Amino acid sequence: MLPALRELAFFHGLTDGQILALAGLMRRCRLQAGDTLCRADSPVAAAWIVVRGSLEIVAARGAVIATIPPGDACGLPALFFDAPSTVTVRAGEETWLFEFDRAMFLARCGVGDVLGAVFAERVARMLAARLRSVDATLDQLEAPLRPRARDKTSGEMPATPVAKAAAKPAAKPASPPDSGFWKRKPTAAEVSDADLQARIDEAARRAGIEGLDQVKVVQPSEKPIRGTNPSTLR
Amino acid sequence: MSREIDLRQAPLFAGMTSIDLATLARVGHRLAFLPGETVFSGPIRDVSLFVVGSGEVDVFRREADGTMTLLARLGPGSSFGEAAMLDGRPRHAIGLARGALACWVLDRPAFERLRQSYPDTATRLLLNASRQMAERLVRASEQLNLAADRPSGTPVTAIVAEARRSLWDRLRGR
Repeated sequence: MLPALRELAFFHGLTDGQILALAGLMRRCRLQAGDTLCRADSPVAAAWIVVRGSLEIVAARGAVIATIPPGDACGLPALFFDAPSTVTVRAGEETWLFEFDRAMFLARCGVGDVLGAVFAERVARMLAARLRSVDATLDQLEAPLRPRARDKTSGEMPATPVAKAAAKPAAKPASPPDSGFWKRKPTAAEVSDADLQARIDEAARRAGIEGLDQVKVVQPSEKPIRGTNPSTLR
Repeated sequence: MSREIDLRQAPLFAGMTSIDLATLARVGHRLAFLPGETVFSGPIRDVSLFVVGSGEVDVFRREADGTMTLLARLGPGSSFGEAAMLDGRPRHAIGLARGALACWVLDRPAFERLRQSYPDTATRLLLNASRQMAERLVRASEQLNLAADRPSGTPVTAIVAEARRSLWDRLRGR
């Protein structure tokens, strides 16, 4: 067990004693493939760390929008405030989890001991990693919208099929700021949504990448839901 | 502009005792910026936690063609750089003082000193920072879920733009 835990991002850099102590604070749960961990709009007051297997995040229309691999966490915001889950989370395969709830987490962090400090630091790091992940996803979504590097020989933007496809007349950019240092590109508000959407779709088609509305759609599981509290699944 | 920064006004320090605040004021430091001056982009400040005391910061992203895109405008009480301070990975954005600006700054060495010498204060700071990151995460994730769930043909740009703002500006829309 310990070698497997050492490999998880949540426990990286901790001593064996700290790993065992932290793991001892959490409940172990096991889900079968297709089991639902929490449903969209249902209250959640716990977080989970994937130890083995994977979780799928399913949006309301059934699209799997992310997969949570071993070492990653899910439900961390529920440790800080009441917010119903915005998505349905289910096991993509047989999955082992560590579960810890808000009451235990905050109580432990309030004790003022070393373990509580480590616990708080680990959760903060996982949240930072999740923010980075969302940031990276936004980068991918925005990539087709961004200005491209200029052609070094001519100083002009390279002509590409994407640029040609997006050659609809765009809104005229506002005059640049007075400093002259910033050559501001038109903001999203200054370019029509339809134009930007055309660029996204064209870029996706050219790259052979499925658009967001063509992501894998998974039919609702036929399996009965065994409970939203994974502690009942042990 | 006052030389003092009132840490109590920042949500990042909500619920902290006066002893905590005095400790944080001692461990962190104050930085003042002239209008238009770069607030963060260097290797050290890039991985520091900032709290705006007075003034405003404009956050830009540098594009491949050299142009700048305004991502957010942060006012007094706003904080940023929690993730960078925790994981040590520099942010890609660039912050510029919109006018005269004063910030409280906690860099990584100072944060390590805080953890070693004042672990309880450090834990309370981490919990508050986590709460802020969690709020941003929820709001940005909601927008991303909308983007993934939108009916075919529905524009995604406004959704993505709102998600981006959510990552930076927790005060917006409140």
